[in-house]
Amino acid sequence: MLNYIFTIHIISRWKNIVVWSASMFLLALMFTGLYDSFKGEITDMIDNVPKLMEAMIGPLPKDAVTPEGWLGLELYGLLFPILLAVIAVSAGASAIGGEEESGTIELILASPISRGRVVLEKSLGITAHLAIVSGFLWGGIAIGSILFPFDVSLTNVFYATAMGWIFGTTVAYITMSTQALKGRKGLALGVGSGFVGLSYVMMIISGLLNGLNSLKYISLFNYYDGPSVLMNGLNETSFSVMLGLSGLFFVISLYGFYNRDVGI
Amino acid sequence: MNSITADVPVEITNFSKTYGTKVAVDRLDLKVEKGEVFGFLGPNGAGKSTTIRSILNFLTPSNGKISIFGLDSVKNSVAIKNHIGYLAGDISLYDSMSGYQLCKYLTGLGKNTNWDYVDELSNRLQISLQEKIGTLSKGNKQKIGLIQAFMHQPKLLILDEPTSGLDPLMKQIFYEMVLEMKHLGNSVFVSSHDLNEVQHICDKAAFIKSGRLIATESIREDFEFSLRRYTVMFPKFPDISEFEKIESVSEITQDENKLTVTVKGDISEFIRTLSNHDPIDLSEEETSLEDLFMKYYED
Repeated sequence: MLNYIFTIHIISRWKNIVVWSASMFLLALMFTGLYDSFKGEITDMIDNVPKLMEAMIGPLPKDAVTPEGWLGLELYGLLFPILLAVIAVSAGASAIGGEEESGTIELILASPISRGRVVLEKSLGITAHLAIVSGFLWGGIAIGSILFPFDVSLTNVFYATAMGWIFGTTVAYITMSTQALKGRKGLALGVGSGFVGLSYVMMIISGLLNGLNSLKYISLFNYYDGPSVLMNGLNETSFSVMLGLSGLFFVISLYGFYNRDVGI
Repeated sequence: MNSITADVPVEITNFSKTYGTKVAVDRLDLKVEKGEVFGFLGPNGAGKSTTIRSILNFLTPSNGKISIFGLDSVKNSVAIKNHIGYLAGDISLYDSMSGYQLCKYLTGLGKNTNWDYVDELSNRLQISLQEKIGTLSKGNKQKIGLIQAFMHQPKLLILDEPTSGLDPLMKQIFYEMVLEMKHLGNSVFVSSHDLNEVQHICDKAAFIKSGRLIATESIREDFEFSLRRYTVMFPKFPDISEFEKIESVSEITQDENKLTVTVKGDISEFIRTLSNHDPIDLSEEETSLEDLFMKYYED
């Protein structure tokens, strides 16, 4: 199966995928295992959280004593999206940028293959990479719900995981589009990280200052909102917004890579 | 999909490439004929790699047009590459793959590989395709690079410094591979700093300097006649201005009764002028491609 850019993309990152997938799986197992020991203290923990801290980790689940609330508080509130953002920025910058940096892009572009197919297969590679890592988080929770007293809605966990996946994909495509437009991996890493950081700051400010509440609409974290999805099920509107953004930045990547000199 | 419409492998017309205000290639005109081995010479930074990368549509021309087998290099880039084999200068390969896996991968990207030919090339170049590329020496990586460029027996080979890192024996095998491609009617466009190599395998060579084409010379059969250096002894030194008027004569030096000149191309006018002055001795020196290179680039 060493036939496609997509396959090679995944194979070449197998160590990264294995390490992150195992980490996600173990994190999920750990938090499902800890729930029973901490469930009596969750209400006290929430009552004592300062407003600044609440703004930093997002709205706290009203029903945090449930397994869904516990996961929203400990895992899906901040840890999962931040970890996925880290993976996504790296994957987006290096998808085409890594091939350009090493010079192997010339082997690909000297073949009878369009630049559009390169972008498409690289994008699919990133998407699959993030899906595998996210899937292991869901798998860890599913296994944890069997091993420990953790009666959780696996459907809602799946939806929340999917929200994290599309959040990561959006971040990755924003990063990749920067690289595709400018051909500079370092710049793409900066823009991707900066976007995540700025998005996070917007969320905090909008939570602390009532007058600036509308800033949340330009924060990607607002659309992700994993803890709410765990409690209420999939938010189709938010999912569609991130899907649409992913599509937009995919098209920008296509445009950038088609219209730029490669291998200067 | 567009198909080949003409027999001219490479035709570059008024091609320019600029980066901001810097002109990398300036109004270049070139034509590579079918079955021709064409050398592309010039010092570092002359515009060789820019031209090669533009032929392959890695770079888009700022002006002018590049046609490959009659197809536009930008609009028909994918169709063109079915017929091109490319070896980059300082080639980068996937270190984690074996040579065989690399060939399989590139075949998956659309190259119509002749696997019997791949086996033959690996035997001739004495390289195992089973070892990881990351474990190979520079010379052996270069051999893998050559195999991936030749493996589909393309109608046009574009080679940038193809013998970099190869030992003399392997260079000889490479020369044979190039001549075999030529005998199949395929064309080879080769950029090289090795002037002996160009003189050995090329039919024609273009010289580029500061982005501009300064000369195109035939090499194989008639190169020896294209540039010669003569030393002439006279009983009494003639008027040097007579020789300066001859268009084909250059680099005139005088040392007492001895005259030394370089004649490019047709020597008949020089010989006629010479005979009017009763020379007492005449010696001719064959000029190498290196001399020609130095003549074009020394200033």
